[in-house]
Amino acid sequence: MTNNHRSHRRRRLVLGLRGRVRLAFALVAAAIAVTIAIAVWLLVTNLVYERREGLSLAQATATADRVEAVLRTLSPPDDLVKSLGNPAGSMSMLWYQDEWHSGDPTLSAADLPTPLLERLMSGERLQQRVWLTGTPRLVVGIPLTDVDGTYAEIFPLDDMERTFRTLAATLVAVTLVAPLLGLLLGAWAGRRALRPLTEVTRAAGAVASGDLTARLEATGDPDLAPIAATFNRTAEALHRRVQGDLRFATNVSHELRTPVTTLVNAIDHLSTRREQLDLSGRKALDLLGDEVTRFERLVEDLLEISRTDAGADDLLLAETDAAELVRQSIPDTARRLLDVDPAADGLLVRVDRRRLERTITNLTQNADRHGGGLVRVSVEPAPGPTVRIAVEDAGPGVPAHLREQVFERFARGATSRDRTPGVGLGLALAAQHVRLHEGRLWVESRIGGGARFVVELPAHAPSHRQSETPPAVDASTDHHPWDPPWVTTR
Amino acid sequence: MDRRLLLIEDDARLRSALTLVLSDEGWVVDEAVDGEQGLRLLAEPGRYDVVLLDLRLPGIDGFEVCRRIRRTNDVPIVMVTARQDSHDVVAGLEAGADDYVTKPLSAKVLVARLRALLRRTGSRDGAEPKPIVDDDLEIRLDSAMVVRNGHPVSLTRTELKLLAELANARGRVLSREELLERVWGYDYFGDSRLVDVHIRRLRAKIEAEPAAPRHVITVRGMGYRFGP
Repeated sequence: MTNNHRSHRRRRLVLGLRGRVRLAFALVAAAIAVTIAIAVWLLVTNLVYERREGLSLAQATATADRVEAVLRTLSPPDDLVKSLGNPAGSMSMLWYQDEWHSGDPTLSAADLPTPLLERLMSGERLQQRVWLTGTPRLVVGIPLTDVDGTYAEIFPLDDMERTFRTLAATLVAVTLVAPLLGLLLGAWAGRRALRPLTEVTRAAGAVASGDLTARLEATGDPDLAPIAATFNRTAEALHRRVQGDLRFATNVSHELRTPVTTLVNAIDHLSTRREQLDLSGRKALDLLGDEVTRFERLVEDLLEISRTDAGADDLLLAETDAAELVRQSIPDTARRLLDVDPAADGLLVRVDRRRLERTITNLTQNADRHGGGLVRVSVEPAPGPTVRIAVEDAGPGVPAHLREQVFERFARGATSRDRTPGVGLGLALAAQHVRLHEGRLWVESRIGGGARFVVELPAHAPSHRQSETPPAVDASTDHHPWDPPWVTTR
Repeated sequence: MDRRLLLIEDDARLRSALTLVLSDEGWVVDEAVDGEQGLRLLAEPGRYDVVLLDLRLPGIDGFEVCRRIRRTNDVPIVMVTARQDSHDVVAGLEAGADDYVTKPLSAKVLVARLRALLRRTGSRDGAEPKPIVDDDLEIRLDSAMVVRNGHPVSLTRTELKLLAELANARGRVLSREELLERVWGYDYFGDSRLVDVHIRRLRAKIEAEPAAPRHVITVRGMGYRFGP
């Protein structure tokens, strides 16, 4: 329980290989984008600002020189600062004779922060950025040493600030988009890099689902060649092994046929002399007879199942009336249990009669031996179109968790009480035969108790007899497109 | 009258068991351990009513034994195959066998088969004394003779029975199941390959061009019919 919990939590943290590649690409892209953005920001802002500072200082110094020259002629400072008419929208202020003179009516000395004013008044040469009335500005202070005053010029920086904002927005956008691009790049690269892995998955899946001939194609890629080679070697070994097992099973059951035949006939011979035996002798003969019958069936089933495993291509398909086939397949004593839906009457199935007969026989025998007796056999149409053949018994039913398992080879009932002889291969063989006909076989609960084994086969209504295909072994080539007038159909 | 059966089987124990059972059923059984011995015993014409032949034999195999028997002898041959659905069945029938049983064969099935085989080859009741004539072919059922272009054709008894059933139906189509039932005594689950291979063998003997037959005609999806 704890283990489960832990492994579950761990699984949530584990990203797939592809996910990790994508994440790595995204992180690297983000890191690169952030670094570049910061560098660009610092570089560009500094460069632009320094340039602006230089220009502003040059302009202010030139103006200050003019102001100083004029002040020396004792003209009134207010008129002077107003007449300066600075380019670049800058505003002039003059500290002269212990008084501030402003060149712009919208600006007074009181608008400037006091520490800055004090530094200007003390005759310091300065350049400082300040926020005035909500806009960024550059204040340049030039001391006028000859006339004992200070010239201050206030340059607007809002255009530069706008440029910076645009730059910042661009950089942020780029920084945000970069990881996304990284993610896409990672996905693409991951898919490309992992494409061989998809191939491996496909091949492994094919092997797992029974196609032991699936192989990986040899590629020139030195990173992949060893995996492909190992995989192919493993699949080859598995294939050989399975083939060997199949050959062994086939050979064993083949070899057993002759002695079984001898046994069957010797017992037959003894049975005709049953009356000459005493009671215990008869009992022994019966035991022998039953066991040989069981043995015979097991050998048959084993051979049949191993042959289908080996992919025998001996399916003799023929159009067959489904209901008629079922009628012929169940024992005479069970005919009264047969219930054919009128809608299913005449439905045709394309089957190997021998195999399907065997399937139905196995199911009815199973009902008799392990299901407390056959109760009902029904044939009914189902969507698809398909036909459903259901074999119902009166037994304890098959518990939900065993409903797959009963079709496994040599499956046994859950209780020791159910160890009736002959379970072995019957249902497994039935399932295999039904699969071979592209049908389905399952077991469900019967209403009213018991198990209900259902065979579902593709079916079709009888259309025209001409559409029927002739049996496999018909080499005749004569064609008679007309129907003779005296042809009577049964 | 005792019915004589030749059993060609290499497994001594199986041979003994089959002999025991068949003797019980009133057969006189001669045993042959291989094809050579079997062919030697068959050299005397008319000695056996039926041959039970295992296809897997040491030396000359069952197919070849079958072919060699057919060169001189129309004795009914029942072959014993390992498997019903292997190609052995078709190959054995092509080689001239009349019917087959599969291992493990039970005496009951075997005896029923042999009875059906003898019934169809033995009696000729209900055969019309008047010969049936179709173009170049004349079938005299009362004397079990088939004449083509004035020359007698040698048919095995099963081939003859098959031809007789078709001819007696007077052009009506007979399905494979009907033919199995009438000629071989099979029930619903007989092997229709028996019919198809025998039809092929029959055509090879009575048709001028077996690939374009005019006497025994396939009706696609239904069966076979006799006639023009």
